[in-house]
Amino acid sequence: MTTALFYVFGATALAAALLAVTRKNAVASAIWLIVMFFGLAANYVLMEAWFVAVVQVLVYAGAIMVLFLFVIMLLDLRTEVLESTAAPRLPAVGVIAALLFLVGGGIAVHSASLDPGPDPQTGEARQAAALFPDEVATGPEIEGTAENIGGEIFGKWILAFEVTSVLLLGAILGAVILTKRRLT
Amino acid sequence: MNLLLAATTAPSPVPLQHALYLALALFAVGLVGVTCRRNILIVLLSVEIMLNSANLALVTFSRATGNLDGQVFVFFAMVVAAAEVAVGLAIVIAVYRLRQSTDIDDADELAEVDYGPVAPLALEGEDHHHHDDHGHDDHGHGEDTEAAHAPAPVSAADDAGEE
Repeated sequence: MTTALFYVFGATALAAALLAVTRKNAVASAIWLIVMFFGLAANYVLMEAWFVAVVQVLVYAGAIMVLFLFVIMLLDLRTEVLESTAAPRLPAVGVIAALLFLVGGGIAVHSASLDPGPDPQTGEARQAAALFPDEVATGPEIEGTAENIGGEIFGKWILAFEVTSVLLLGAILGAVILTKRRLT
Repeated sequence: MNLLLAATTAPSPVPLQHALYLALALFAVGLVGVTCRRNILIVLLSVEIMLNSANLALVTFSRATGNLDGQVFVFFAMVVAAAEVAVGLAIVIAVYRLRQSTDIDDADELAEVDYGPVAPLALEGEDHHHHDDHGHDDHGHGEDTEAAHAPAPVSAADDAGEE
């Protein structure tokens, strides 16, 4: 059941991404992108990444897409403008780059394994484990709940979390200064 | 790895390798969007698709190895994506104000002589001496009143909309 749901939501996300990239109107693109965000959020739920799934809906489908739609409607592009930007630019380059990426990445994923490194006690090399095992670890300790993620963020990654606040402050200042006509 | 030892194992409900193939496909779609689309807004949307595919790959690896660090990294990636969107859309608005266009090929030059009907971003002091010659009534009232009259190319409606 979970496996079938994964394929359903995965196909939804992929189809929505394709539609978002090919739509002429930016508003339609943005709406299809919201569908893709929800499809991915459902897949995060299936992978027991609850916190990431909720943040995906709140931040991406909520905040970021509202910002996008706000700017799209602020610019208020006419139909003739949309027509003029509808034709693809360098289609061959894009498709070839994407195909090369798919082939290279597909080979990498197909032959992937996880090298555990030398044994800490004996120093002997250990055999590489399959990166995508049939059996995965489960349990309340490694579920992506807010409690577990929060413990990691405010423990091991506290410095990165604090630096993030500086990044957001810089982004706020940058956005305000860029959109102001005059700085006085 | 300590976490992994504490937990029990069970068959993976989600085919993790296929999840990574899905991430690859999504990234390729985003790549096509970034290279092929002309509308700068859809280019930014395609960048979001690529960021999301990377997030999916991180969550997949987190699930495969039983390690939460991947999901913490997704959290940070989302914060960076939010900052990127805010600055990116501010640049889109600034470019649109300058060129009256969302076609990225119209923004392929760093400098352009003709700024169109709207003035570019002006720093303090640039306009002062330029407008001194026009001779306002309140010429002797000091710097602040003079500055209030300085922006000639910006219409009053634009100012009201901004503030």
